[in-house]
Amino acid sequence: MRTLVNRRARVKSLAESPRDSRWQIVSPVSAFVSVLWPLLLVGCASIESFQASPRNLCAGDTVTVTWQATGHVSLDANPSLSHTGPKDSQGSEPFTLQQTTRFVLSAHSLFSQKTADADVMVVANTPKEFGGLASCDVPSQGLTLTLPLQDPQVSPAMRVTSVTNMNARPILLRKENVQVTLLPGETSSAFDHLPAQGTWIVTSTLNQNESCADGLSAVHDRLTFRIAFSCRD
Amino acid sequence: MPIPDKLKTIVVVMMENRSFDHVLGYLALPQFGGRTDVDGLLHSDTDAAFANEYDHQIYRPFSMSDRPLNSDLPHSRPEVATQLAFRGTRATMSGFVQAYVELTHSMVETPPPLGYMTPASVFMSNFLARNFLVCDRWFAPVPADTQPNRAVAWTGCTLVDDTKGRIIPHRDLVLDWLTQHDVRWRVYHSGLSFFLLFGLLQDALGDKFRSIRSLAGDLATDSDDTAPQVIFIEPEYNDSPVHFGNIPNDNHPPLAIGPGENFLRDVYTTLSTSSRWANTLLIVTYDEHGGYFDHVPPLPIQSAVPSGALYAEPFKTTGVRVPALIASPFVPSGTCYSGSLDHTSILQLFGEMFAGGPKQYSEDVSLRLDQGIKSVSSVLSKTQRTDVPVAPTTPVMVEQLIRSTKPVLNENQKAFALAGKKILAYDASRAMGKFPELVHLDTSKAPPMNPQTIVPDHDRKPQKIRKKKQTIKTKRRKKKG
Repeated sequence: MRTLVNRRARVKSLAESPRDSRWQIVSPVSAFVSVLWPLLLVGCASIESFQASPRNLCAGDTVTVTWQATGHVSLDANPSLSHTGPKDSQGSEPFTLQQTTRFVLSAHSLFSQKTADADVMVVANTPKEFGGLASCDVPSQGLTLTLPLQDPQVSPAMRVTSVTNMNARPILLRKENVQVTLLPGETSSAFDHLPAQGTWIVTSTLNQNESCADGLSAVHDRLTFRIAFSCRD
Repeated sequence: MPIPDKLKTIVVVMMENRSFDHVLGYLALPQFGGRTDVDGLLHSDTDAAFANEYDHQIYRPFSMSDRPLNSDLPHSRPEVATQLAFRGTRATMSGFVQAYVELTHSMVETPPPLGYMTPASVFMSNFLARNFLVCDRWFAPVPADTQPNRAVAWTGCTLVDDTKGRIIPHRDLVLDWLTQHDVRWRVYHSGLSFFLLFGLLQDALGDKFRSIRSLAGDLATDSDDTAPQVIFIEPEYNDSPVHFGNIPNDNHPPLAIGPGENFLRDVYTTLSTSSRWANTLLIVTYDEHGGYFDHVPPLPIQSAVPSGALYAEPFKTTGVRVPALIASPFVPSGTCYSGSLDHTSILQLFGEMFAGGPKQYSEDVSLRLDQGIKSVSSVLSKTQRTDVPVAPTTPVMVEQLIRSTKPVLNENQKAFALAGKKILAYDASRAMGKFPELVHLDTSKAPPMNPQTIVPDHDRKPQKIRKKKQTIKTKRRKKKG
């Protein structure tokens, strides 16, 4: 109790006379603030965010890598690229890619090290699957999914060559003013040369007497389709 | 299924943090034999049930080589909720990549939670699956991480829903139950025992806790009257902050799985080459999925919040499906059992073997039984096999993760450290003799030698146990009378 009273008195004195250097040295509060807290900050590395956008692009496209971290930060690439290496704790950097690349952000400090990876794929002719959890609010409208594909997913240069229905039931796939009905596993070139970016809408009608719940259960709640790409000439 | 009279010894091995699809899902793939009786990764490249979405892109399971990961995978209660991705009452199992990105900030084309092993990496699990019995509906009991799931495994319910650096609050431990029912049991530990985290002190320093190095000798020399009826065999835990000679082999990510496979080979070979094998049942399972993907939604098993629990939200489902393999002369070769099981299935089996029925273990276990969880006895066959398959002799070699320093402990490592300090404070010389790895433990912050604080409830129970034993005996006498 005595110690507590003394400590309170010292803290009070510090508040009343903040410029009194004697109290700044002996007070546990000021010691914590001035010495331990910075040490703790230095001691813990962390990565708050790390992103590469777009994640799929054409050779020659630019990817922007963005990060926020604590500690000594380094950005590396595999295969290696210029302008990598030690970085500020927060920032972004554009890179022009010719091939698929993995970016690695490292944050290290006295006590810990954190790393995060981000792959950027130069897709060329490699198909990619897109989709998500479908909804079914009104049975007459069937199962629906709206997919806005933008910069984080695909670069503006990417063009569609074909689309494939990855679901175990027929779907209607729409983008802009093009639409096509696809049987399970069927591939179509109806969207040939259209940009991959934009809003894709997938719908699947319910069978007779099929409820929304049954329809969603039949597709494990998901609707997906695969896009094969080419790059803008 | 009635328990065969000749079954005398039950051996339980609980590994750490892998899902069924990750370890055994390949069994259903055509290129690995295409077992049609196992619900694994068949059509995982096209079936929607395997599609995981992150930011509109779909990711699917992929074959991964065995190697240490960069980090552990997400598997706390909130992270598992993200992975299960409920739509109403239905778990879609579509959020494993989402949870991984949120935890690690890594977005790669092959997210580790979706990686699966192939026979070359899991040679021993593959051997057990081909020669004995796979359970493809064995679930972690709760959708959370290690401590809650091990609490259910070893007590029938959990008072915690997360993993913290503490002695785990709990109800009656399985070891007490076995003692109360006059069942001979032993724990063979590779390093620090997980049972220490339940506050065991006196028991852990006694004769029932032995180094795994004694197992083969004990099997050879124990008489029928002294041989344990229940054996728990523990790997070297990765979460133990100290080790003595052994490398961690419990399969907890970021570890590679190879050392754990070698451990299972050692366990199986020791048991199967002993004269007691003809009367033995080996259960190998995992405490929880550890963040790895599985496509089978958890079972809708409700469990009320027990009194004294440190959480308020009841669990409404089991956790994710985990690998489970049963090796014994009492299971047919190369078969699969698809009835609903979880860790309390082991406790039900104890109830049947040692107390007269699966509902005789505890009320908590019976509540799960009432909701469809079956006993391990369901997998047993009446006929006793006489063949003893020989385990592969070539162990796998895997690249090991070398850590120069490990200054920041995770919560379970803190729990191990705390348990180690407590047992050192209780009886340092005996503790060192039993758990030599404690020489490496930093005891500069050891807990005070106050018996009130260092002796948990668990070790103040001998009198309580004697009383319970007497009650059980009186009941038996009355029944006979």
